[in-house]
Amino acid sequence: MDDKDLLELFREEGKENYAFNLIVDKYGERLYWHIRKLVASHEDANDLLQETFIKAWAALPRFREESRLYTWLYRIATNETLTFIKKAKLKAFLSLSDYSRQLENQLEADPYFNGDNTQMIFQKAIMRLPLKQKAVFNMRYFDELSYEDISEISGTSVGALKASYHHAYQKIQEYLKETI
Amino acid sequence: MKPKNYIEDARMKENPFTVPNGYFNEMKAQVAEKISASGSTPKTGFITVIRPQLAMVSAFAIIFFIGYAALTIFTPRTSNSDVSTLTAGNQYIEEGFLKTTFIDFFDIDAENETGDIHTIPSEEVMSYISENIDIITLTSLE
Repeated sequence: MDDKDLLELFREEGKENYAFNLIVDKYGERLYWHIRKLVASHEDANDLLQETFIKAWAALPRFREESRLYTWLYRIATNETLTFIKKAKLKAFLSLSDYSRQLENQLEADPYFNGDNTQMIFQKAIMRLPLKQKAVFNMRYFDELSYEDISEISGTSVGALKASYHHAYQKIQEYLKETI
Repeated sequence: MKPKNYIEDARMKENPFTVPNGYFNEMKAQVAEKISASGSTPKTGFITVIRPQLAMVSAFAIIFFIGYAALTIFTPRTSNSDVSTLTAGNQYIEEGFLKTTFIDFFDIDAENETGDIHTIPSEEVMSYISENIDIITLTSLE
């Protein structure tokens, strides 16, 4: 069922829950991986995903289809996650520790990380990126979203996104060269 | 030899993260449960429906208020002396001391602007002078 049909179903009396469950079914996994690659921890990703869907549920009646449903959901998920990371960074700063270092430790101890050493270093390089660069890099590199879609999600111009991706790419490459 | 570019390595695009068994089904059930627990289904409320109109009305009200305030603040006030002069002028017109009112300007016959003066009887003129002009003024006129 495409997004238009899902939204029409959602607007039918008494079918909101059913339609929304179909939306969760369609986009849940994709959004989970998007969040997970930003926060690393499964527990945090799960909490943020649920929060994303609760917010989407409350806001969906006001959704005017000015953007596509999946970019709209991505936007909610990304905003939720970036807000969470900002708070976590502030908390880490106040306790005089480094948030990136915390994430790296978390990654090393994560029972749900299955990658080899090179993948581990690659993930650590991504974690060292500034927040928005990290989000842009992940959406482009892993999710293979077009710059136009990322622009719709982030509200940033395509040119700025290309520059952001390029900077992220350079930084990761440098880190990999130094580390591997 | 050119160093290897790991970012372009297809293996790097593979997802190194995993989830507990059955997580996604569990997650869907948890979301469905939370939504059901939230009670009512999200409805588009009356306020939500009229929100654009409300916004427009508020914008017009603000613009009107700002315009009104600006006019009130920046327009110079008419002084009391001007008002009293105007009032006095009206009084003279009402009492008939001035022959010409605003409306009269349109009624005046161009060829006969001063015609009325010659038609006033001399007795009436004398009576007016004796009633309204004192002796000192009359002496100074000589």
